[in-house]
Formats: sequence, C-alpha cells, structure tokens
Amino acid sequence: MLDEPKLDYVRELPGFERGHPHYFKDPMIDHLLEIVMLLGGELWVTRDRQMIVEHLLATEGKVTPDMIERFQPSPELRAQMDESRKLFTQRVFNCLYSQHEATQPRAFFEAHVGKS
Amino acid sequence: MTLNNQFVDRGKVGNTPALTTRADETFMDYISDMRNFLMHAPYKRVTELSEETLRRTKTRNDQWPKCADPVRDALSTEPEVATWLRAKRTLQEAYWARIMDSYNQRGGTLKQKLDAADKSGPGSVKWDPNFPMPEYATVDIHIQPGGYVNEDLGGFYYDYGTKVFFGGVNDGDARHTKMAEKTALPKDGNVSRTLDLGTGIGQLPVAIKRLFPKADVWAIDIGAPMVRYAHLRAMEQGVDVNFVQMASEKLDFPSGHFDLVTAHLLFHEIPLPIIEATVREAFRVLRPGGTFVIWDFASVDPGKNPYAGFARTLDAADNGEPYSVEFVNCNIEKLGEQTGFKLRYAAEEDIARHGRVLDKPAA
Repeated sequence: MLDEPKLDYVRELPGFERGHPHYFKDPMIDHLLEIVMLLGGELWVTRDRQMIVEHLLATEGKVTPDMIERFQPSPELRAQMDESRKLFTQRVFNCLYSQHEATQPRAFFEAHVGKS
Repeated sequence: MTLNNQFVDRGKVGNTPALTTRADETFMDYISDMRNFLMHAPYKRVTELSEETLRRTKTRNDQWPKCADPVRDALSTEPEVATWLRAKRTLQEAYWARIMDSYNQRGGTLKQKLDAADKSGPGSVKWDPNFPMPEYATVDIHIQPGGYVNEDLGGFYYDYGTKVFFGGVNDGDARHTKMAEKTALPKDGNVSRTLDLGTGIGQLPVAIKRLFPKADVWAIDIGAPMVRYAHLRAMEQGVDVNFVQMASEKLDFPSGHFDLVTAHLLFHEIPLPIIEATVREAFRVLRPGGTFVIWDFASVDPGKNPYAGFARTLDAADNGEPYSVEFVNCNIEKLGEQTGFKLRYAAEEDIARHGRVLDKPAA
C-alpha cells in the first residue's frame, strides 16, 4: 500500500488558480496589444471569406453561405491563402521582432520537449 | 452556419474534428501563424534579453515559487520580453476561447458521439462518473478552461488546442507517430502488453498499436473527458486500444504485467510526490526486463545560472503548469535509478533523442 502523498502545498503554487497577469507596468499596454492581436484575427477571417467569395463567383458563378462553409481549396489555392496570411501577419506585426534571427517551429519544440 | 441555421458537416482536419465554422478555422490558422511569428521566431533573442534583464536588476530566478512575481515585475521593464509574454498569454487564451465556442455550438451532437462510443469498439473505455478526483489534478492545465477533468468536451478542446500549439508540427499526429517508431523497447524485444500513462487523447498508444498490432495496448488518464475522447478518436481510426480513467500513482494493474510503459509529457503536469509514486508504480507493473520510457522536459542542472530560465518560471505561473518547475528540478533520471531502474542512456543528447529510457532489471 502506497503512502498517501502530502499535497497540501499545491494550492499555494502560482498557476494553480487562474489569474489575469499583465506584463507591462501599465496594464493598458497589455490591453491594447491584446485588442490589436484579436482584431487582426477578425480582420483575417473577413479577408479569407472575401477570397472564397471571389473564387466561387469566378469559378461557379454563384455563392451561398453553405458553399462557403463546405469550401475546400485546391492545394495550390490553399498554399496561396496560407502565404497571404503569413504576409498579412508579418506586415502588421513586423515592427515587433522582424529584425531578429528566427527560430523555426520544429527547433522550438525540440528544444522544449525533445526531438521527434 | 447556413441560412437555414444548420451547421454543415465540415469533416476532419487530419484526425481532429473540424471546427464548426469556416470562420473559426480561419481564426485559428491566424493564431497559429501569430504564435510562430511572435513567440517561436524571437525566442532566442527574448531568452537572451530576459537573462540580461534579470542579471541587471539582480532578480534571481531560482527560488520557485516565490521568484515568479519578482521575475515578472523585472521583465516588465524590457518591452520586447513583455511583448513576448503578452503575446503568449493572449494567443493561448484566444485559442481556447474560440475552440470552446466553436465546438460548443454543436456540443449536444459531440456529447452524443461520446456516449455512443462508450459502448462501441474496436477497443474499449472505462470511466467512473464518481471518480475520486484528487485536487492536484483540477488545475486548468495550459489554462484550458476546465482542464482535463471538468469539461465533458475537454478532449475535443485539447485536440484542436494542441494542434494550434504545435504550429503544424504534429498535424496528422506526425510527431506521435515518429515518437512511437523510435520508442526504446525491452532489450529482449518482447512487446506483448503496453501501457501509456497520462495518455491525454491517446495519440501515442494508437501509434504503438499500429506498430505492434498483436500487442494488448492499454492507456490511462485521470480525466474522464480525455479517455472518452481518446477512445472515440482511436475507434474512428479503427485502432484497438483500451482506455481507462485511472491515476498514474495508483495503477489498478497486476505487478509484472507490462513489457513497455510510456509517459509522454505527463510528468511535468503532476506534483513531486505524485511523480515519485508514479515512478514506483511503473516499476511495479513492469515485468523484469521491461522498459519505461519517459518523454518530457529536460532536467535542469542544479548549478544552473540563477538568472536563466524565465520561460519555465512564467509558464508554470501563468500558463497552468504549476508543477513543471518541480519536475525539471527533481532529476527524474536519478529518481528512476533510486527506484530500481537502470538508465539506458545518460548523455543529454541521447536523452533528447530517446527520452529517459529506464530498464527494469531482468530477474
């Protein structure tokens, strides 16, 4: 029979209860950065939908909400849309980090959780 | 949603159910790109800046948990680091919120799928609505609302959330498949019964079952939402794995039962007394000559630079990883050897490649 582990201390660990941390002296900067990041996402959703509408009108001559939801781009179109999205995020947020040497996603995860 | 107020079936993305609307999926693609651009790309630079800042302000980062608030305060003076931390937190909260909103729109249908899968195969699932849940497991890990134990659809949320987290690296479970292929086996090569601890949504045991189709493959997780979804996900791939809701520190299996026990990213999510009990239990349920493979964060050198490692501290404090600092400092390799295992690879590079491979001595 195993001893019951003593775990009273876990409630005192930061992270056990969810908080609302801010990272700048003035939390308003946190709020503004958050608003900008989320607005970027909502703007991209609109641009993606616009691209699909234009594509459907050009290829099918009509568009319905159902057609948009079911839309599966060809590999070529998918690659174009992915590239457009990456350019969009880079153009909007370029001022923050672009001058630095980039770490690729695979290298980032290998550094943290081991190689696969 | 269509004009008829009905959701269309948008199929799957790899093995993951598609989000309910095109807009949700598009938003998540943006979040994934933003993580790559704002978090992964500048990581090296931000790590260097944080260390410089902590050294300049004489803010030591080696006394968890009380160092967390001073470290966060000190780094608020360095805008690039503060921006990195803000982006990490905002993007993490944003993807959980959108994923939950999206799946919840068809939540009734998804719950029905789980109910139906409970009674279907291939494979099986066993869970208990009255499971005595230890308090340590109720934390919102990765700030996923409800964590792994408190939301019926938690497995669906986790699946799409980790897809975004891995930034495309694990699409189609590619990472888990490679991991299974290179998992160290018992030295005698016999793999008839395997057990995965803290299985989450069951990607690793599914990959192991594909490699060893004749093996009896078991997987446990403390969260019912996890094992139920893991079973549904395995079943939809036609893979026969047995999932059970169970705590890794109290395994309900006979001694000497398994040839291979695995644990992928479990140990940094459990507190130190549970880590110790889990290693003892893994030793007990393995047969002589069996092997325990642990994939997890690298251990930290006890003589480390006291101004380094900001990301681990603030990930623990602000990203629902409260036990991860205990884990990286516990020297799991030594703990395994103290329990009776033999560590197959000791070099840091080998551990990064193979995980911690712990062999139970043959009788």
